[in-house]
Amino acid sequence: MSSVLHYFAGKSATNAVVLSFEINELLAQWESLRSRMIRLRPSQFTRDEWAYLIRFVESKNLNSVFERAFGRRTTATSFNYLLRPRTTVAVWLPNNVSLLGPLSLILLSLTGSRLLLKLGSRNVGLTAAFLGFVRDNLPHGVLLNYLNDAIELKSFDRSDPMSQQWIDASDVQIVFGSDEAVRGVRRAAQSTQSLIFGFSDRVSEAWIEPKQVNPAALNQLMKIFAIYGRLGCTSPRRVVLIDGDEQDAVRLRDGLAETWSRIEDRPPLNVASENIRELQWAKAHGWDPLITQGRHAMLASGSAELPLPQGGNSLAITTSPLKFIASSLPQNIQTIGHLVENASDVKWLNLLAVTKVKRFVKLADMHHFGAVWDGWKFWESVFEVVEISV
Amino acid sequence: MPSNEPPAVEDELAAVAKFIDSTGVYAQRNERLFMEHMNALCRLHLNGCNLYKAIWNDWKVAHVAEELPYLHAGLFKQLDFRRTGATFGRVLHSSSTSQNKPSQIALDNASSKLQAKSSLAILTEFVGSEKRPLLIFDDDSLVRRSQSVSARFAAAMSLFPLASDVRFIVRDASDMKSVKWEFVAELLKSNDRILAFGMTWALWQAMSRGNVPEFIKDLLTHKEVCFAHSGGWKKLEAEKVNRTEFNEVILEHVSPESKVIDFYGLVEQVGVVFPLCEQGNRHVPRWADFVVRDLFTMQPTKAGEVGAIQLINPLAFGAPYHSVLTEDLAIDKGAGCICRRKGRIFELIGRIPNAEVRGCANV
Repeated sequence: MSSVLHYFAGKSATNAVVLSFEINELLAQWESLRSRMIRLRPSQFTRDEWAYLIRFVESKNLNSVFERAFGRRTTATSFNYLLRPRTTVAVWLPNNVSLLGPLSLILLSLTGSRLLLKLGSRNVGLTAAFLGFVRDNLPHGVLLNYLNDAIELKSFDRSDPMSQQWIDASDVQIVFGSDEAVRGVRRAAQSTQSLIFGFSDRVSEAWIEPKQVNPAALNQLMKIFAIYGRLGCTSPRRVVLIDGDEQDAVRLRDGLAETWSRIEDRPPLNVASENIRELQWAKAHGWDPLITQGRHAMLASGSAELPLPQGGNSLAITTSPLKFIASSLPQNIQTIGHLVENASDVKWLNLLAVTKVKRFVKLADMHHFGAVWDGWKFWESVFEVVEISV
Repeated sequence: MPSNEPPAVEDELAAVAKFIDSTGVYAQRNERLFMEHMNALCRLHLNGCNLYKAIWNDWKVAHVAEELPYLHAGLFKQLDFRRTGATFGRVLHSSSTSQNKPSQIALDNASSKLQAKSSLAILTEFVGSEKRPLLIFDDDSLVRRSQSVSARFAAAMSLFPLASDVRFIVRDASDMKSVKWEFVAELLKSNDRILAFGMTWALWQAMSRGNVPEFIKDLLTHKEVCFAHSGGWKKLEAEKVNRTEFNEVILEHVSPESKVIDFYGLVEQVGVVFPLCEQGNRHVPRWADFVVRDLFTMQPTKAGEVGAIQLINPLAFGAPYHSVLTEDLAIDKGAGCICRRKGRIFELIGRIPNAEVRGCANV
């Protein structure tokens, strides 16, 4: 296997990254897929999911993964660190249908490491569909060789002996799933050298200043919520109107409902049924709820002290003074999707510094997956760092 | 009576009991009286159950069934509805699955009497009033719980008044090969007519696949057996067993006068069951009603359209489960059936299917 050295000028050091391919060549091959992806969408993917993947494989986006980790590309020949990818990365994907598989595959292909992807035992998911599409539509080249030779997909239960085999065979374990799934892999890992990244039970919320609420903002919020309801780790389980009052919450609720009323397609029957149940549950608990016209969601405005609705498509809308907004965050908070006038104001940094928030991103970017996740630079950690002093 | 004033409970209980007694199970209903009883129950629960009042604080008197307020069946998995002032006994619960908590209905003494009267009247109509031995394809662990009653046991219990003798004939309900055929043989030797009850899946497992010993087949040959079952077809559908095959197998060894009766019922409507008649229709007793709703508009569906079925009856005095929007799909088939039973009928389609869950959530 060939080795190609790439140099990056970091802030305080020059990094030499050794890969089994030339980066530009690999990125060009991902980029070349886009035109095919625009014309053809496998039936397993929704339009939104496929559109997201088309944007994700753009060479500019993938190149930024290298640059954020290692610095700008440079032609220097001396360097302070040699970074080499660890040989084998094993990824445990969650059981439900998830875009995490294809996204992880794309990101980790940039390392050239051998990749073991455990699919959820309840379904084969989008990963196999994506890999199949890519293999069928790529011309011969370094990326197709990698996808054919270095990727293994398997579906098995957590209790299957294959799980232990993969833990033993891998240098990095990345686990997406429940707390129990992560604990299981941690307990089973015997190597003193392997790294484990557990991405488990997380919740997110949206923080919005009432003055920022306008039709575009409502549309954005609806789109973000519509993708996974409350069920994604990056999905807002509630909206908090910063320094807002009850009327602000009601206005946001009604504005969202009106935005949703323009959506013509209907959700599955079980979602409609569940939302009717949730509407009644919310009333029973003191919320002021409504159900959207097409039954896509149950929207409830009310006090932050009330128990949160738990339905998959139930969105609570509350208010909080800014000084108290962090105090009600749960321990497993992940993403705050913000819609505020000045997100770069230092007050946000001061506020976030005393929380466990892992991502403070624009509302529209809540679902964006990347090389830094849940507080870890996990992608960068696939590379071993060799200190060089000559 | 002022429109929002709750009725005197004892008076209303007596009136509903009289309403059940008045004429045949499937005779023509007095609509005005039925709606009076339903509205009375609504007032009773609005006055006595804060959860119900919070949900239906904009309640108005209903003139027809489709105007009646309802509770979604799923709420009974999450909330404990009770009317203040009722006297409660055991809790009735549905079976739970790995994904779902069971529904729980607090049984009150007054309603239990009405519910027992109702279910006996319905079952007698289909099974006959002659008492005979009852074989229950289940184990007797159901009997030993004091504080709670499973839906399975409640269904079996509803047949007790029609039984001269009750036998739980399975050693271990998780293994339907553990049928105590010797008990069955003992009863068959001295009785020509038998009543049998089991959950649909259990009955299938016990009676099919070569499980019935030869000596039992011989004993069954001239016996008239009424097999009653309940509990749904999901597992059997997964095995590609349809109703025709099910009935053929169950009735394979018994006399031609034997029959199979499929009951549809749910814990949230305890006391009212909907047997399948000879023509394949589910009949609604005179003291119950239903609405099939389009879940996207909540309006009653048009003829022949599938919707979610809301079930209604005036027997629930302890908690507001008198009008329940279920998670089952059905078609309103109007009224009139050549099986001679009057009143409304519906076709049960099955449970609302679950769509796949998308997201990175922690499953």
